[in-house]
Amino acid sequence: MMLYSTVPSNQQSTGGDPDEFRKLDLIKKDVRQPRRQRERRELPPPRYKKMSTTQDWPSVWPVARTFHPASVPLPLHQGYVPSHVPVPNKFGNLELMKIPNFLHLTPPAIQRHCEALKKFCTPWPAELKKEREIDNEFPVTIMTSDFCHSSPSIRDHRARIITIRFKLATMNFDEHARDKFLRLVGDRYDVESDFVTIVTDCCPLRQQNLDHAMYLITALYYESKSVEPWENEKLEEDMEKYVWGKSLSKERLNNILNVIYENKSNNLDYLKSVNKEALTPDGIVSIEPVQNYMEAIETIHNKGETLDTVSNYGNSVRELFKLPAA
Amino acid sequence: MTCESAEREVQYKCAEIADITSQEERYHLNSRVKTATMLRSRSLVQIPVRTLSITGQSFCYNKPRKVFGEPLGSTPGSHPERSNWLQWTDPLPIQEHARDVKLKDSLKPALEEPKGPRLDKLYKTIELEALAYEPAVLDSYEWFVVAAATHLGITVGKRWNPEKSDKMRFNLLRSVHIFKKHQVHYEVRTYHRFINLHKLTGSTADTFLEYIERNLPEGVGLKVTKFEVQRLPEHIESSSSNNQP
Repeated sequence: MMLYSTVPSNQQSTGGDPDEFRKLDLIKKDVRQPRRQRERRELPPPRYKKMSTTQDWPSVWPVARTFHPASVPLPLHQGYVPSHVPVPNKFGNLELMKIPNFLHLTPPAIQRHCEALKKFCTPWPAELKKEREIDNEFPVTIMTSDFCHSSPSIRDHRARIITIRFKLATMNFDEHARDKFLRLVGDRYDVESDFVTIVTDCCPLRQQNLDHAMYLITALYYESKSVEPWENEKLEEDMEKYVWGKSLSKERLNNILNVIYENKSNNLDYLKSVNKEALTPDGIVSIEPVQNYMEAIETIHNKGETLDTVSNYGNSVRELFKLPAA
Repeated sequence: MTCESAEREVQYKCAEIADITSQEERYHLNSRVKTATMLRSRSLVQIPVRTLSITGQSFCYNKPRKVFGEPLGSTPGSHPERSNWLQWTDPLPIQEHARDVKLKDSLKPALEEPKGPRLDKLYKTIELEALAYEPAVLDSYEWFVVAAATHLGITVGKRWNPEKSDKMRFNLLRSVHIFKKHQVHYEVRTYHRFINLHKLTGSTADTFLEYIERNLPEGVGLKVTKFEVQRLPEHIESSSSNNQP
């Protein structure tokens, strides 16, 4: 500690001779008091040195926070360290502060959170354990997306899009309705998986898109069910596939069978057990050889000629008219 | 903005309120004014500004105010030549508006809460897609999500990440605007993580998603795709075949 006297310095310099005249010091020299030094306290040791090993870490670091070297009792560093350089310690390591840390989400902390959250959860119904049970009971799947990211707005225009998917087999359709439905949905139907997928994104809000999609499904369903008067004008050449039941071939076969039936030399066994009334164009379909013939000829028309289909066709004709085997 | 265009903008806004300008006049306005009015397409010009969102999408509907008791044309400021579903006034404060609502009797049952117990939603699958520039953060986040799901008894399905990250690359001149030969090459890599969760009820999903979304680290984005299962609407007859295995 230094001591200062209150006597001006010029008096000191002139010495303490009382006999001398005192000088009149007009231009006083600027004598500055040295600044008071602020007392420097010693820094306390970092907090992590006082921590016990049995402390409750989630209460030390309860929420997300930037890394602080003094409160984390771990020898951390981040970044590449060449082999000949000593590993830096965690103090003054800026990279550790930049990266988001998960010190608030330690395993005991997660467990504690989840135990508190468990009372808001409900179990999945036991009746719907298997995938098939879910699909049977709830055939419609609605797909929506939520987006969570840092941006000035919490809205995301992609969240409005609704995708609805269901299997066509779940709809109660006959052949006509199914055909009409497929024509209406176009490429929204996938043949392999039997899924119909409808995407609606024309409205600005999700609920509106959902309502619109439900409206579309309803409209498609009832439109497919209805039969317009012009749909009965469909001719054989308008058919998208060969249907033997609507072809001229059926009537001709009926005529032939009638002729054979009335002939005395009827050698067809299946015709002997058939009534005369059954030999009409619609009635002959129930006779077994005719059914086989029908299937064979429809396959050859619709699926193309292969060795199998052609030989099937030949066999069915031989069976029909009791011809000798090839 | 120049004085002229600022003046024009003021004019434009006045005109919008007073319905003076025709469509064509509006198109000849300064382009800056156009950007100031949120780049509205030609089809949206007739729609007042307040019905457009920040993204420029329209929020007008075909039949908005028929539920209110007053006839449509009588509101002060509405323009007779406009299509009658658009009101050309400043919107009333919501509270006053609500007091004026007189619902038609026929609409009341449609707006009532449905009776009976409220059913929980059923999510067959929830797909989480987390994306970030830092793969290490994604690893930690994935670990956290899986741990939380396990504690809550949620089935965690497939987890995967694409082998390669998305890379956005671009070149810039090293100098300010000359020396084409000397360029810098920048690259931004985005990493993805996918996690599938199966068989969640609506309340479980809400709780779990709220938890993991609140603990989303900085710089990580999350896309949650929900696969909700439902019955066919009641008016659609489902086939009997769907009850068979």
